[in-house]
Amino acid sequence: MIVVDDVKKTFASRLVLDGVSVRFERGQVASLVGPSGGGKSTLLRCINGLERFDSGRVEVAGLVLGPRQPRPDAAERATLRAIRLKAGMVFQHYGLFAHMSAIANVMEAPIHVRKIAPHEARERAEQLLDRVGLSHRRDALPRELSGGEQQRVAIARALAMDPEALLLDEPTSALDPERKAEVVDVLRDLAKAGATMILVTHEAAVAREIADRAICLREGRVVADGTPSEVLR
Amino acid sequence: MIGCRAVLVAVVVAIVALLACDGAAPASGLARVRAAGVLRWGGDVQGGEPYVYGDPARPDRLIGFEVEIADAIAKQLGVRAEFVQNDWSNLVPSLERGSFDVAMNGLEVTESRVGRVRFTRPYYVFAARLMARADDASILPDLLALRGKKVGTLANSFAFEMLRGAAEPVVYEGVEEPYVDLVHGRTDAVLLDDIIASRYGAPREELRVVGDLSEGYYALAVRPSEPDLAAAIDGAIDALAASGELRRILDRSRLWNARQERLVGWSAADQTTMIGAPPAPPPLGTAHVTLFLRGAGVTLVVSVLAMALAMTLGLLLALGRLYGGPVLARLAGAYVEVYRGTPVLLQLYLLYYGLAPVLRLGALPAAVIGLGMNYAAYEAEVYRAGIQAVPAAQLESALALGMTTRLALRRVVLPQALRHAIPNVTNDFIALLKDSSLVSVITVVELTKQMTITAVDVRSWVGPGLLCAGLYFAMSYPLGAVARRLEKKLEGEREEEAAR
Repeated sequence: MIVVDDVKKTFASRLVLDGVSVRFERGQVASLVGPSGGGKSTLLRCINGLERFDSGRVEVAGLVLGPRQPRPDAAERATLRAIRLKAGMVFQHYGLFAHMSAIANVMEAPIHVRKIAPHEARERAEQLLDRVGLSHRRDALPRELSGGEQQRVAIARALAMDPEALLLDEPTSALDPERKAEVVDVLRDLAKAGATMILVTHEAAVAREIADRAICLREGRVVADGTPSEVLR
Repeated sequence: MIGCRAVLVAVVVAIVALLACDGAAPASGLARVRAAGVLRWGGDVQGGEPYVYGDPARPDRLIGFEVEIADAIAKQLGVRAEFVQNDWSNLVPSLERGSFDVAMNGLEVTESRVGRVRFTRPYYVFAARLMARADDASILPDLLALRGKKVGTLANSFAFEMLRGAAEPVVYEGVEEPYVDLVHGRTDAVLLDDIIASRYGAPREELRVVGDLSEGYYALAVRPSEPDLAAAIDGAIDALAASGELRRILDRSRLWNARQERLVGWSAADQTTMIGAPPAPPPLGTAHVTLFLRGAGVTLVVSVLAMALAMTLGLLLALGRLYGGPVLARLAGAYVEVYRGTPVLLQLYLLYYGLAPVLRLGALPAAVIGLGMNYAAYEAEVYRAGIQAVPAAQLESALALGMTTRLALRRVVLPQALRHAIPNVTNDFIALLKDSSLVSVITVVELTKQMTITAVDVRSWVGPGLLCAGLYFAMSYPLGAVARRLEKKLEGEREEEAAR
């Protein structure tokens, strides 16, 4: 469903991805693990085009993204946006829109990108905030929320676009243990409900708890691929 | 604290000493001039040929018929003459504060000046000459027939006083610009002294001389407290007129004509007629306050419209610079550098006079556009800083949600950037409010210009100056308070954020 095929990327003359090929299946929760600088975050960001690669290809739900071009044309920009709708993203530092309340953050893209009627978007946003346990915080601004709360709003915001997969870049590493547990609970519930997720983490415990597959990247290459218990010894 | 008090005491003592000096018996101006061996006379070389101007052959040397008259008078007094450059419109105040001994630079004997200075006997008889476009037959040599017409002239000049109440005077600060604007149809006529008209107006083919509406005199202005100096200069001019020297000087600048015959054998009775009975200066009254409020209104309208333009254009420039691609970014960058790197006064001049042959803007639109385009350069930088203060992650998470860059800017980046920018934008608006006084160079009568005009009328700068300052303060203080409050609020939010 998501295919990464021989993707190479150099960053300031350093080879960050050295011919990575992986296939992610629908309904699978895969974790990308490995030492920092191994290329796991870069790979994740290449999948939804936030980072462009030098050679190879990425396919998301039938949409194909090729290597970086000097000037992306309109068709390519449209493909990028379509891919981002299929693969929602959750960042380590949440990235909530600082000037909007929690619920406005969740409603923003459905209204302005998907063109969903505001009252429908609000209804759906309320459901999603409830799902991540934050319906009581819907009118709070990001700066009034704890880190764990912000990350749960960010997950609700990504889910509001009905993506076919969720890309999560170190979603728990900025959080203290208690907050971390809140977020892990939400992710586990999503996994149980059959969501497709790719999770970058350097925390073995988180990978074991949520993922049913672990892929280890080291120096830009896949060095291990299997169940978390196989890969994370 | 003790230091502060000591300074205060020193200042008070100094002021008292100054006031005491001022109140002392009239010092002998003549004795002072003789002791110094030099007669310092104030004028403005900007008045140009033939008054006082740089010798084309040796620009560091001043020539002109007034230079010759000053030299001749000084010689009669047994001293030498020394020129002191001073802005023309402030010659009288500068004389009063003692910047020079006498003022001489086409200074016409007008009612409002007679109340402030002691005029010597005249050295030139001028005519107030009306000029119009050659193809415009509707302008007649009759002051009353000028009602409703726009007539260019110099601020606080003899002609300006004639036109007030008779026509719609448009006031300029230079002698060339009134004729340029007349050619371009921005005014219907120009009324100025014959010397100016023949040098700057008559050579233009598009214009014609309508006629002379009145006559008046150029004389030297002396401080009223120095009647002996004035009397000595009267004697000197008498001698120059009697010996034919005055005629030779005026002839050299081709200024001698039948009118000047009167200067020979000028009598005490002639002098009394010329001076007339100086009317008591009108007190600063409600009529003036109304005029000031109107000036403040012009200032406010110009400032608000210019700021609206500056904010819109500034935002486009900032976006062009950050997201416009290489060509647009470079153009926007060049715009900012050019507009910030050159004086706004020059920009106003070029926009209003320089572009006139191709783009004939009215004075008010030109003021708004000129100030707006200048401030746009500053606003562009304020917005750019505001946009750059928004963390890159905000744009990235918007793009990750499938937004186009344009939508992400509009919905996510700009609302935050503009909040960051509000305090600076407000401060710039306050600065613009005060800079708007510069538009008087393109004939807009705003608050400061109104102040200078009224100051001449009531023969004092104190009342009009305080009123003017009070009105500026009333407009800018509330804005400053708003800016400070917003700044504090943003600061608080930032701290709150940092604490997490």
